[in-house]
Amino acid sequence: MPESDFQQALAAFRAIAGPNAVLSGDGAAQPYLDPFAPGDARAHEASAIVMVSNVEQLRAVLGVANRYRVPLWSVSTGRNFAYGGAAPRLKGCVVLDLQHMNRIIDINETLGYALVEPGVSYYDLYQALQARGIKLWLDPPAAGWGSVIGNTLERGFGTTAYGDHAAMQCGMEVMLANGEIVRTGMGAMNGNQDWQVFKAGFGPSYDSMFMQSNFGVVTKLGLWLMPRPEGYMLCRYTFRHDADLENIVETLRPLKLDDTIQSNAVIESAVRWAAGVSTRKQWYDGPGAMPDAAIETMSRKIGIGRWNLRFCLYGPEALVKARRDVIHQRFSSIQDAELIELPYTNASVEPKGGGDRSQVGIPNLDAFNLLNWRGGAGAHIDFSPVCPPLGRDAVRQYRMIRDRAASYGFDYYGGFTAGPRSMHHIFAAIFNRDDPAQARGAGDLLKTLINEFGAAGYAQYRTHLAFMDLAASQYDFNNHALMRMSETIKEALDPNGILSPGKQGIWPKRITERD
Amino acid sequence: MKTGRRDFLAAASLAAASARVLWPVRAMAQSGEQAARANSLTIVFDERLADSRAFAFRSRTMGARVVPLRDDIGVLWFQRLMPLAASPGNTIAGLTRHADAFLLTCFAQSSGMRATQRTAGAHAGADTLVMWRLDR
Repeated sequence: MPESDFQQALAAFRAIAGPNAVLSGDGAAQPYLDPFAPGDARAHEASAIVMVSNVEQLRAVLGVANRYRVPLWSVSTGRNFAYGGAAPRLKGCVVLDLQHMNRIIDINETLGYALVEPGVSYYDLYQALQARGIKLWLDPPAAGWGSVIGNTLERGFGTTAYGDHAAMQCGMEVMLANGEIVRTGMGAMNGNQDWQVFKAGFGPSYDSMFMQSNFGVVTKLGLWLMPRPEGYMLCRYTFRHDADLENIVETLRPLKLDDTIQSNAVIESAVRWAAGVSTRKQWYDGPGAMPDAAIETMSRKIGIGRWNLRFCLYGPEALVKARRDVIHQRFSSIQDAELIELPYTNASVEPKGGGDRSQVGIPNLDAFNLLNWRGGAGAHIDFSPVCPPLGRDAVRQYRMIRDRAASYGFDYYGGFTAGPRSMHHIFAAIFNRDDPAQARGAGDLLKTLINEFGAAGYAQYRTHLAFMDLAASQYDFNNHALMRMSETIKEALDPNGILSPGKQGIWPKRITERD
Repeated sequence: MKTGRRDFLAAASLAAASARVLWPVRAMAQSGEQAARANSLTIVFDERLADSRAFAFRSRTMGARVVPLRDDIGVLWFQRLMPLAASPGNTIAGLTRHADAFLLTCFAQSSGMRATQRTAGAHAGADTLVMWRLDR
């Protein structure tokens, strides 16, 4: 766009949101660069930032963006690290930062829900629950500093019984590109009190259309919160053998399907566990991926398994122990499996460790310990294929990633988060961002994995900015019919293409220069 | 308070000579502000790391307030450091592992603070410790 138009748009943004709410010029976008970019972070550099504080400002900003055709990239708090952070897919977009829209509008203890704005983080919501003495738990993602709305819209997940964040969403308010406000579900009716308790409403349901998409800007979102149970029991199994993975998944699946295990269950590799409590150099300081013998030695010395399963049981003590007994009976069929259970604990007592705290609804940042694993300025990008909860698929995916990662010099830092009918398989390529070769290697590895998994019939649920087009292209049924439909919707709702162009591979027609 | 490149590099050299504990405090002294600012310097330290503990101990003897990382860095930020970050004239510094330095820097930048970082020379590599400093 012409520079004069851009400057006029910025002036208009300043008039709307205030002079301090618009950042532009040299270095202004620096805090919005992807800190974990697998390559040149400036390939996804914003041209300016505009921070809005309410829907009126947002509507006015969208009006200006439509007038001058300024592409915006909306972020809630922009902490979606490993997938791009606050950086836009398209270089030169103006980041539309919603962190100042940070009201917790409602918390309903009786019905177990909250209604929040985009700038509300998991820490904010947790503090509000604590301060008001409300007996509800939230479900934090691994990195608890992120936005509740942002993580939910990206279909993030956690490790309590409410770990499927998108499934726990109920009711949205969305601003469309033309400035119109829409409420989904029961919120479409004035005066209705059921917006956060009944998802569907009447007629088509659109909530998931605004997840991982660029069809609107979500300004309010309802989510269900878990009633605080009477108590909980944190459980962990260690499995001694690398070959145990198939049996673990086969044993776990029925226990998740029938809800004997209520929380999302997490299967972690030895390296993933070790990275939380040690550094790589303690175990291996040679070239290439850690050899199997080093992983074996490390596992024994730390006292962890080659695979480690963690989950949490909730409820009255008698019920929790009954569940524990059933589970233990099943897993004891796996040779050398060891159950490490913490005592049944009253729900008012907080555990210490980050992973344990997550399972009782307490946000934390312990997951970032992985940044210390490889040394230097640690960073990571994640490969996140969906895996059916079948032992053979888990083993196949594990081997595909482990072997390919090793060929690029990366350790298998991975694991599976298991829900009832699917698993998120998360592999982090950890690199020193001050080492350009490592950073490039991580990017090259991710591209290779996406292609190889696509060829094997597996696809990702989420990906880094740099790979959105490639990941979207794997969804190729009927010659990419789903993407054609998405592009049709995009043109109808956002004809000027101002909202997050390229998000999840969805581009407006008018933007042809994409990289 | 501003620290020039020379001071910054000098501090890094001090670190390599095991005198890194003086970095933020010495920088203040060099700019003639120590007396005025002693109470506005907060040092975050990792109680699990000997160098970080030593850094905090030396800083405290020179008038700085010291705060341990404890269990959760998010709680530390929201409950202890964010109120400091909101007030002009406060400096927060530390010698920690990279992950903690990264997180606190991100928090601080979102509060409008300026961050400077330097890998402590003696620890570059797999056991990286980072000297960092946050100013408004």
